[in-house]
Amino acid sequence: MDTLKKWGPLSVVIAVVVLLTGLQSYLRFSAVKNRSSRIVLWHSYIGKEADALKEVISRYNSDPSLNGGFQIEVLSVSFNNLPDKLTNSLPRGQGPDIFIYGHDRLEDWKLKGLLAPLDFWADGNLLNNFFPEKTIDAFISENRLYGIPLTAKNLALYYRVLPDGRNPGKEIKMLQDKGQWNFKNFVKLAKSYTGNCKWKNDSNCYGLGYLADDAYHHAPWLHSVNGRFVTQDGKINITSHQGIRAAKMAWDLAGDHKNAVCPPELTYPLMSDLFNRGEIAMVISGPWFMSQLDLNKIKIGVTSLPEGDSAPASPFLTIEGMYLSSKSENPLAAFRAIRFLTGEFSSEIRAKKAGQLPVLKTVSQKLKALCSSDSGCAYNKFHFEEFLKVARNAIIMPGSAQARIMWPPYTKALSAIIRRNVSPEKALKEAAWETDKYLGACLRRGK
Amino acid sequence: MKFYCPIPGKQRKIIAFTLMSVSILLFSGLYVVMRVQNRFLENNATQNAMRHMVNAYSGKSPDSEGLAGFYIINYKTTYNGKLPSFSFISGFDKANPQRQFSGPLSKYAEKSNNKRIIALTRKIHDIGSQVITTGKYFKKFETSPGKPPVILLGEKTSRNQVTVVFMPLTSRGPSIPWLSLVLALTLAILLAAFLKDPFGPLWGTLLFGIVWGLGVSAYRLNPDFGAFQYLSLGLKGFSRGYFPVAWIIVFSVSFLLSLSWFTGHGKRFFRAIKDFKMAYTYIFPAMAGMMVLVLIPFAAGLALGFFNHCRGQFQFVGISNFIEILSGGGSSITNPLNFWFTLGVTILWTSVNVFLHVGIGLGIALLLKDPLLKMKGIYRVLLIIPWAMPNYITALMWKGMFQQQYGALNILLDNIGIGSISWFSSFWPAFMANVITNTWLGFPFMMVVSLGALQSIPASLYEAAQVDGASKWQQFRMITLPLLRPALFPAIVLGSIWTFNMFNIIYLVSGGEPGGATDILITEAYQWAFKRGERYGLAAAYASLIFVILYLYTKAANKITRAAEDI
Repeated sequence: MDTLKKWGPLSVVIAVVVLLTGLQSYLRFSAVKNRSSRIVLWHSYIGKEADALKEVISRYNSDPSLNGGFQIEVLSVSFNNLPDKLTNSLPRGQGPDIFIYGHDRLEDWKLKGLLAPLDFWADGNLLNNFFPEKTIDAFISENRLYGIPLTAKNLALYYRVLPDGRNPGKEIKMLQDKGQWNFKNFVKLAKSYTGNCKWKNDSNCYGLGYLADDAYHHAPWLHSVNGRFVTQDGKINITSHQGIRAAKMAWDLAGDHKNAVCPPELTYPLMSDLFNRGEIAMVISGPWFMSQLDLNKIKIGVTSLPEGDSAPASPFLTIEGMYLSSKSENPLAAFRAIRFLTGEFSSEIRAKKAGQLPVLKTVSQKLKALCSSDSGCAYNKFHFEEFLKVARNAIIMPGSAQARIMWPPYTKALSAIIRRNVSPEKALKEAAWETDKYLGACLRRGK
Repeated sequence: MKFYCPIPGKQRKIIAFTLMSVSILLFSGLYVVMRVQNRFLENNATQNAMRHMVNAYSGKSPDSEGLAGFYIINYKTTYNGKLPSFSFISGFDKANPQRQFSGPLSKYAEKSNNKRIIALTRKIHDIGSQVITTGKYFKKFETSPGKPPVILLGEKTSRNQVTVVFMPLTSRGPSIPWLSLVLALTLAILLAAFLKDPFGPLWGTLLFGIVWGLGVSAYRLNPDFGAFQYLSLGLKGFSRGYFPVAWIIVFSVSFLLSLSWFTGHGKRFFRAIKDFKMAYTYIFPAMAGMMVLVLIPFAAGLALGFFNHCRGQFQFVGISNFIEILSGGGSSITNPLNFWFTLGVTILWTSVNVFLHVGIGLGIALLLKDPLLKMKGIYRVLLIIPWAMPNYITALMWKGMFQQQYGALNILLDNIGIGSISWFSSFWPAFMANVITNTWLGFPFMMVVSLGALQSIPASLYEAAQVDGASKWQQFRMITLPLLRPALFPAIVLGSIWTFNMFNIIYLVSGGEPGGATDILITEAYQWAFKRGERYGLAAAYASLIFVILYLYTKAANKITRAAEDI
C-alpha cells in the first residue's frame, strides 16, 4: 500500500507523458494518412479576394478531370501571422502543400529550405504568358523558379473630381501631353489644390495624400533620382546622395509644415476618408485603395507618378504568388493545383470579382476586349490599363533578408526628417548604423 | 515496505563504480567504432561513384555494380536563359533495370504517375540545376526511413550534358539504439544502489530523466532505424532541432529535484502532498495549467536568452546577449537603443502612471464616499467604463484624438487658443500622450480598490477624531491613509507590474515615436524579435531582464509592506 502511495503520482506523470507521446504519434500518422488525397492551401485573403479564390477552388474541386482526385482544402490565416506560421510549421511537415504570399519572403524561406523549386514543371507556355514579364523574375533565384505569380500590386496616382467641379486629372493630362509631367510641376499642381476649401467652410484642403514617412511609399522618389535601397550586388544603400535628395523631395511634399501639400500623420483610414470627402485631391496608393472608395459618389482617375530629376518615379512592384512547400507529400498534384489557381480561369475570376490585377497577357487582353461592349467592365472599373502601365516601369521590390531588416530604420529616418526636421544626412546615417546593428548577429557569423 | 540492498555498503559502491565505468566505456567505444565505420563506407561509396563518373567522361557505359542509379541528361535553358530544362539521354535504375529513360524529365515523371519516379526525376533536376550553377554536386542523401543513405554525385561531363550518379552505402555500421537504453537502465539501477531509500520519488525522477534523455540520444544516433523511425515521427521537430534545450531542461529539472531532496525541501514537498492530498487534488488542474502555460514557456524563454538566431538556426552563445544588452550595445546612453535609456523611460513611465492612477483613483473614491452625494451608482458605472473597455480599442481611439491635424484634442486646443501640438514629434508630448491614455485606462482599478477599502473603515474612528478636534487633513493622514495601506499596497505593486509591461498602449499610441524614444522594455523586446532581424535570443534576454527587475521590485515592495505593517 505504501509503495503504491509513493509510486502513484510518479506513475501518473509517466503515464501522461507516454499517453501524450502516443497521441501525438497517432495524430501525426492520421494526418499523414488523410493528406494522401488532398492538397492544403494557406492564404491570407479576406473579403472579395477570399470570395473569388473560394469560387475558383470550388470549380477545381468539383471537376475530377482538373484535380486528378486531389481536392484543395483551404485554411485562411491572418496576414500578419502567416509568415511566422509558415516558418514554424513547414519544417515540421505540418504546414500547407501550397500557399499564397508576396515575393518579398522568398530569399528567407529559400535559405531555410522551405520552398520546392517549380522549374521542373514550368514550361515556356506558362512562363512567357506573364505581363509585365518581370513578374516571373521576382520568383527566380539562382536559376531556380520558386513561385508562380498570381497578381501584382504597385502604387499609382489617384485623382478625383472635387465637389466644386475642379479636376486635377485634366491638368495632369495636359502636362503629360506636353511632356512636362515632372516632380516640379507635380508639386505646383498639388499646391494649387492646397489651402482653404471654399465649398467646405474654409477648412484645410490638401493637394496630395500619401504615407510620406513610409519607406515603401517613399520608393518612387528615390527611384526618380536614380537611387536604390539595395545595390545590384545586394548591399544596403541608405546614405547615398540620391537617398538624401529623395528625402528632401519627401520633405518638400510633407515635411515643410507651412508649405506642405500633404497632411501630417496620415493613416490609410484617414486618407480614404479625406479623399472621399474631397479634402484631398490626389492620393498615392495601390489597387487596395479602390475598395475604400465610395465609387458611386465620386469620379476618380488613376495615372502614373511624375518624372523625377533623371528617371521616372517608379514605384515598387510586389508580386503575390503561389509557392510549393518542400515538404509536400504530393508535389505533382500540388503543382497541378498551383497551375490552375494561377491560370487563366482563376486570373479572370479574381480580376472580375476582386479587382486583382491580371498578370497573364491573355487574360488582360480578353478583359480589355470585353470592355468594348460593357462600360462597367472590370478592366475599366479597376483601372487595370493604368496600373499595368505603371507596373511595366515599376521596380521589383527587393526580397532579401537585409532589405526586410532595413525598412523599419528607413521608415524611422523618414519620420524624423518629416516630423522633426532632422537633416536627411543625419537621419539616414542613423538608419544605416541601425540597419548594420540589426544585421550584426547574422553577418558576424558569416552567413 | 522498504527495500534494503543485501550487499554491504563498501562492496556495493565498488561494484557499482566498476559497472558504471565499463558501461560508459563500452558505449563510447561502440559509438566511435560506428562513426568510423560509417565514414569508411561513405568514402568507399564516394570513390565508387567517382569511378563511374570517370567512365562517363570517357563515354564508357557504366557497369551496374553497386549502383542505385546512373543518369545522363541533356540540358537547355528556357525563359531567356534564366531557367534550366533537362531531358534524359540515358539512365539506369537498379530498382527497375528494364525502365527506359528518355525525353524531358517532367514529362517522364508525369507519364509514370509514380511517386518514386517523380521524386527521383525531381532530384535529378535539382542536381542538374546545381551543377549548371556551381559546376559540381556532391551530397550524402538520407532516403526513406530504414534505408541506407546514398551518395549523390553530379558533374558536367560534356557540353550541355550532366551525369548524375546515385551510389548507396552498401552496408552500414551496427545499429545500436538499444545500447543507450541498456546503459540508462544500468545507470538507474546503480544510482539506486547508492541511495538510502531507492523507492523514493527522487529515484523515479532520475530514472525517468536518464532513460528519456538517453533514449532520445539513441534516436539521435540512429533516427531512421528500427523502432526509432516511429519515435522520429512522433517526436519530429522536437528531439531534432530543440534536442539540446530538451536535454538541458530534463537534467536541470532532475538536478533541482535531487538538490531539493537533499536539502530536505523535496521531502517536505512530498510529505505535504501526502498530508493534504485532497487539497492538492483540487488544485492539480490549475497546477498542470500553470506548468504548461506559464512555467514551460518561461523556462524556454529563459533558455532562449542564451542562443542566437540566424536564418532559422539557433546557436548557443552563452551570456553574450545579456552582455550586449547591459553594455548598451554600442549606442550612447541618450540613444533609444541603449538598454539603460529604455530602462529609465520605463521607470519614469511606471512611476508617473502609478502616481496618477493612485492619485486620481483615490481622489474620486473619496468623492464617491461622500454620504451626501446622489446617484453614486451611475457615477461608479461611468467611471468604471474605461477599465471595462478592451485597452487596445481605447488606445486606438486616443491615437486618433492625438492626430496633429484632425485629432479631437488638437481641435479643442486650437479652439481655446493654445494651438495644435504635434504629439509624436518630440519626446515629452509623445510620452504624455501615452501617459494620458494609460491614466484613462488605469485609474478605475485604483478607484475600485480604494472605494472598497474606504468603506471598511469604521465611521466611529472619524467621529472620535472629530471629538478630539482633528482637521479633515489630519483625519485623512492619520486614519484614512494608514487603514487604506493594506489594500492599496498590493494594488500599487500589481499596477506597477501591469504598467511596466503595458505593451498595447506604447505600441498602439506612440509606437515608440519619436525614433523609438518612448519605447519601454517590453516593446523594445518585441522590436528585437519581430522588427530587427528576428533576434529572438536577444529579445528573450530582454524578457529575462524584465523578469529580474520585476522580481527584485516585488521583493522590495513586499519588504516595505511588511515593514509598514509592523509599524
